[in-house]
Amino acid sequence: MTATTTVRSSPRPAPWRDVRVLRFVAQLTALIVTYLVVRFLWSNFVANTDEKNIDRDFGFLEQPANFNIQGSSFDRSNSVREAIGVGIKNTFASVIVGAPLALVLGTLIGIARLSKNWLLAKISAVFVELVRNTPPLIVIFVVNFALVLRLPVVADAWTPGGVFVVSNFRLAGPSIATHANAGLFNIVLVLAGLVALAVAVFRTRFSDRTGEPHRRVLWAGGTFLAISAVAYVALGGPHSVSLPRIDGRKVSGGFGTLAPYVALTGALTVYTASHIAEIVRGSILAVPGGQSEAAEAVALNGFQRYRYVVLPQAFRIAIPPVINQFLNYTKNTSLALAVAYAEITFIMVTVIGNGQPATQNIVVLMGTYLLFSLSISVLLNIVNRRLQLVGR
Amino acid sequence: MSDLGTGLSVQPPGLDAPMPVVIPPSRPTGPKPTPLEWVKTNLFSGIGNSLTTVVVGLFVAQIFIINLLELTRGNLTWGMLSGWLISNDYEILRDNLRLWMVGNYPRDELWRPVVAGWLAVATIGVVSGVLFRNAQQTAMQAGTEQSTSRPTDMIRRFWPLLLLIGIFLSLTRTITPLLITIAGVALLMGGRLAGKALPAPIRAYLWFMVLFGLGGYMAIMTGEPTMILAVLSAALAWSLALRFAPAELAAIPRTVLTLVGGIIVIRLGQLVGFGRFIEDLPRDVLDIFGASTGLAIHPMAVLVISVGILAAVTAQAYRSAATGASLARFSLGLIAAGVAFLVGRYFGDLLNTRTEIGVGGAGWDDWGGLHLNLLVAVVGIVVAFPFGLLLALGRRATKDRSDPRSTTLFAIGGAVVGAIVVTIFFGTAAAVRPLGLIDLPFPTVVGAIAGAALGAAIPLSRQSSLPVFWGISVTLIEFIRGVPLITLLFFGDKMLRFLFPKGWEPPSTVSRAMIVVTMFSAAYIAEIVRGGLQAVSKGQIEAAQAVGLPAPKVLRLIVLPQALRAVIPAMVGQAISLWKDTSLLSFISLLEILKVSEIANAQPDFRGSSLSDLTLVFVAVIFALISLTMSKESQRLETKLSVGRAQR
Repeated sequence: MTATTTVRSSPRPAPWRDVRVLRFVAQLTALIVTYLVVRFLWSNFVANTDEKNIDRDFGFLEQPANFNIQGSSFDRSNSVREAIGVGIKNTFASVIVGAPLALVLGTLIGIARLSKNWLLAKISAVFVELVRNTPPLIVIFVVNFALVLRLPVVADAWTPGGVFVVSNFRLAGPSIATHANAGLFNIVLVLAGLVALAVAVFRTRFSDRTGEPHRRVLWAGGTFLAISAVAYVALGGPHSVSLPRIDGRKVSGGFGTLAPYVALTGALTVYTASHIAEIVRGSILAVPGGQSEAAEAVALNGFQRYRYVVLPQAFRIAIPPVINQFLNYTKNTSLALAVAYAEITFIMVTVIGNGQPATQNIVVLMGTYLLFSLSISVLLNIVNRRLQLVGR
Repeated sequence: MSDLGTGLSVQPPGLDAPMPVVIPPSRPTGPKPTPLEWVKTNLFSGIGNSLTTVVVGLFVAQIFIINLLELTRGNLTWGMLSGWLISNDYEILRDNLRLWMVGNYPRDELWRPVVAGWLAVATIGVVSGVLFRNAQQTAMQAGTEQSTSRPTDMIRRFWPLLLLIGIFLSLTRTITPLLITIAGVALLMGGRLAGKALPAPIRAYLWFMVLFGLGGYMAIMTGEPTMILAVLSAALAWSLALRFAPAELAAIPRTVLTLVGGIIVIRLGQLVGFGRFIEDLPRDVLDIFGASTGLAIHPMAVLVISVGILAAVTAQAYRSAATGASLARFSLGLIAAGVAFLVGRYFGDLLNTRTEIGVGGAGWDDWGGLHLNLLVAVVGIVVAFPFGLLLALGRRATKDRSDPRSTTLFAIGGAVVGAIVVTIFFGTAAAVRPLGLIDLPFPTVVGAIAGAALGAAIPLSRQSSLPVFWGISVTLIEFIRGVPLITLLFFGDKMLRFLFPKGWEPPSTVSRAMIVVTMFSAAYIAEIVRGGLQAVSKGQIEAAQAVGLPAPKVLRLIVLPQALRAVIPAMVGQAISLWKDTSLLSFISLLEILKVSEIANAQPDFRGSSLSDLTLVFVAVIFALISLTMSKESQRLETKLSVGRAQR
């Protein structure tokens, strides 16, 4: 038949058996129920807070905080909002130092666990199993009580190498002190960095064209150092090293951190490293064995085999769980309550203890953590999509 | 029959003959190395290797050597392990062992934890026996090797748990705990034998054995057997009725059966107290919508309406014989459950009044110590699992539509709209400096962020066939997973009672903690199950649809068994994580083991001596040994499951 006949679509089933109608009705019902539930909870909340004369707005953020925070220039008269700012800064300080450290440590331990040396493998295994199976709170307690609090007081602090100060209140190391022309020198450094980048690109193109080794690291690094050295001398020494000195019961100079910070960051680094070690070990084992055998067949030694064949494939598998562990690190900093380190949860608890309304505080606290988590989650999704092997 | 030319006669096995056992060949291994050879290959094979051995060996040795040296000098510096172990005084642990085990449970009711513990241990034994016998039968039918288990295997498998029990027993003062433990071990072994000996029809009801064990445990500990017995009997009757409903049942007019079943359910509801709920619900609903409350809705009207709906459903079911039969079975199940509920309540009342069980006992508000940690962990997994499953199914992406570009556009648009809307509603109070650059009102920033999230969700929700449920699931999951457990515990502790209406009694601290822990656990389980759902290949679903299975049956019979089997190791990992997180309950003043160590250290006998080390290590050891047991079981499950997959 060449005449085209319009094919009628099958007759629609009765509404109570039509999947599309049922879906619509179900979702509409869900929306109505959600609205009712939220309205119910909100009306209860309003009634209860009115009864107890508690404010429901965010005006408490402008009130003076009435407590001091160690280790910063915050004092009692600053507002609650600034206290929260200090808390966020402190949380960030712990994450930015601890997470990369945990990654490095965890990778090393994970590789050590797969070593051919039986002693090394077993010791790493014992360490990982022990730390992984302990709650992070207890790891923090152990590091705090057993290590940090046993350090000597500031007056008798250890000074390894004359460069560090190790005590149970403050731990300090050398830092950079700025003098005149420091700002100018920093700008020159940035310019030098850009020039070095240009040199590296130029050398790479040169190498592509002529086939000679580019040695771009040496060229770029040398350029950077040369420009910085000339600028340093020309500007009369704008930076110098400041070493920490014990000053009675305080430490002056240098770059100091409080003992609670060291306890928290150290404990969380060790804990997260044990998890990352397991992830790295699993991902290295997930690389097919044939890859290692092929690498040996083309005469790559052990280090080269890891660097060029195994680890690149292993990291593709490992990166999503590792980013998840960074997320866990961020959330575990909330346990700083145990060591009284002034990160955001501790500050919020103090603020609530000082009589500010609990609900808004907890909402702000959860909002801050949500912000951290969602940013890291978005990052994880982008990385995941880039690294995914396209499948069905 | 056929001679394969080898001179052997091969008979095809009859249908009732057992399959020949096929033992897979094992790989050839070389000769076992002598100790010297082993040391040479593993510790000193090359320069690098030898250097590593020397360095690590020295590091390990110096801990012990320095320990001993310091010990002889009578000096304990920090971090030294073995000297500390020997010289310590364990009185604090011995005196407070009861606190660590059961917290502040009433002293003269301590027989309850013991009997409940025996019941739990017997149930575990029976369940393990049943599982073993089931696995044996499956192996026999598949023709694979049956696993043998000897007592030494069990000891090697469970050594952390045995070590923990040994530590506890070494801290007791009388011989009673030892006798109790021996009786418990005897019950465990007896239960395992009984489980192996049970006939097959009873072995199919494994889930019920677990349920009965759990119910009995709760009944004995809380001293309120009535409700538990009633619910358990109803559940058992329901299951039995559904299983054994005769085929002739379909001939009985379905309307009648459904009506009777529906009436029994409603009557039961009134018994349990939903009667007032049925009276008040219409009034409350109308209240919320702001309508007049002059309308008095008689409960009989509600009854008639519900029965009418049931009748309409039944009338519809006449169209399909299969649905009619299942509806008839459903009604029979309802009737049986209702009757069993009443019978169970009667016997529960008898137990309550005539025996010791009903007198005394303590609700879980008074439980503490290790008992509380275990309770919260178990409830957190068991109760959270169905919720997590629902959330995962809600979030499941069934279609393949997602365009990153449109997501960004929607996010930006949503941010703008959100900022404007929130600023209109909440004004411009409380400026903040998000980037230290400019002053922005706090509500605007919040509105922008929330708007961006909601905007980004709209195109993403097209991946699911039910976008509203997807939205609800994603919101709940991401909110709960993005926040540390401690903040959720504070939320539960301080904020939850503001959300309850004025008349209701706020739940106790333990109940609040359990609600929060269940929510928390459900979100994580949802993500794990979602991963498992993604692991089931699309071909399975397409094949099921090709065979004509409706969507709920596809889910129940094809997708979920494969998905849940694939995520068992991850679920055990989540169980371990939850167990470790129960240590956080000390922050809301619950008497769990970390809090007990604080209390023990503050007692007048022990204050002043630096005994926080000992209690801290004690608590850490308890956590670590139980986690280690679960972790070893998880590894064992992983190897067992992957082997099974390879063989298929």
